[in-house]
Amino acid sequence: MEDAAHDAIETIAPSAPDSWIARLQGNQVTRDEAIEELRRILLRGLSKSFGAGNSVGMHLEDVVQEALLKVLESLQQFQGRSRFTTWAMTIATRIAISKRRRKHFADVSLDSLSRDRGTTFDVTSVEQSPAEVVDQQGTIAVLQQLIDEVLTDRQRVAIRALLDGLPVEVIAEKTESNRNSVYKLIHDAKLKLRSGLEAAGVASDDLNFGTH
Amino acid sequence: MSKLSEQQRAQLLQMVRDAKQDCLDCDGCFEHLAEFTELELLGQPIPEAMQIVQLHLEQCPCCQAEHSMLIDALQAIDAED
Repeated sequence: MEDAAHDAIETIAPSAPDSWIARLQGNQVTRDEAIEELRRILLRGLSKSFGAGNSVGMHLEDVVQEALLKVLESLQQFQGRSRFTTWAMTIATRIAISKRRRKHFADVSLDSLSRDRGTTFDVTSVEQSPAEVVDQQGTIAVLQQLIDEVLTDRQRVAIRALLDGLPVEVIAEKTESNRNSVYKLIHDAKLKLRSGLEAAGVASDDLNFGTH
Repeated sequence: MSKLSEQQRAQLLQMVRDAKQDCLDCDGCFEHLAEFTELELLGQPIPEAMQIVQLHLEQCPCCQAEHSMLIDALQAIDAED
């Protein structure tokens, strides 16, 4: 499915001429000048996007250096579907946000969380007004049953961690998995819960409570 | 068994309600993110074939955060160009 989607995107993507590749593969002087210019561009962009949110004390110069190395080793993957600097900034942004996530959640252990409170979780005990209880208790009971019976332990732990504020990338690192797998694990769980609720006669509109 | 807060339960319900089939994973999204974001910033319509990126961003908070920060970074670059 993803290959088909990729092919579809390929057909609409214009190829943009870009001198960056030639400069970065040029002689030493040209290459060094291009790297220095790219370093300044990436630092300027990250300083803006991470400046206010850089609460974990990352050194952006180090991030940019790592991004430059990644960009240089990935030059062959640049296909000209965007400007080169946009592509490079995309790489730098991912490196920077990954570092920030890892640093921010360095002391959180999923193992200790699930050991202390079990793998499943309770959606029925949230305080509600009497009117809400009457309207929604059936839906909540079905949801709890689906969580307990349809989801796997790994899905419950991952969803609980997500609801505790852990990014998918961090959950992946702490479960020695990878981001794509954890994303799919959680996404499949959401779809299972949704189809289970639909099978039980609960419409999407009936899930709106508590979200306003 | 641990209890969810009201906010967490609301978040779970919203996640379940908004769950849609997603044919991209995070790496697939990343592969097209530069092009997608550039089109957005240029104010150009997102082609139908690129809607899968939009769909993934709606489903994935991690990619959504990266997309948002990328926009900030690119605007900073363009502002000084």
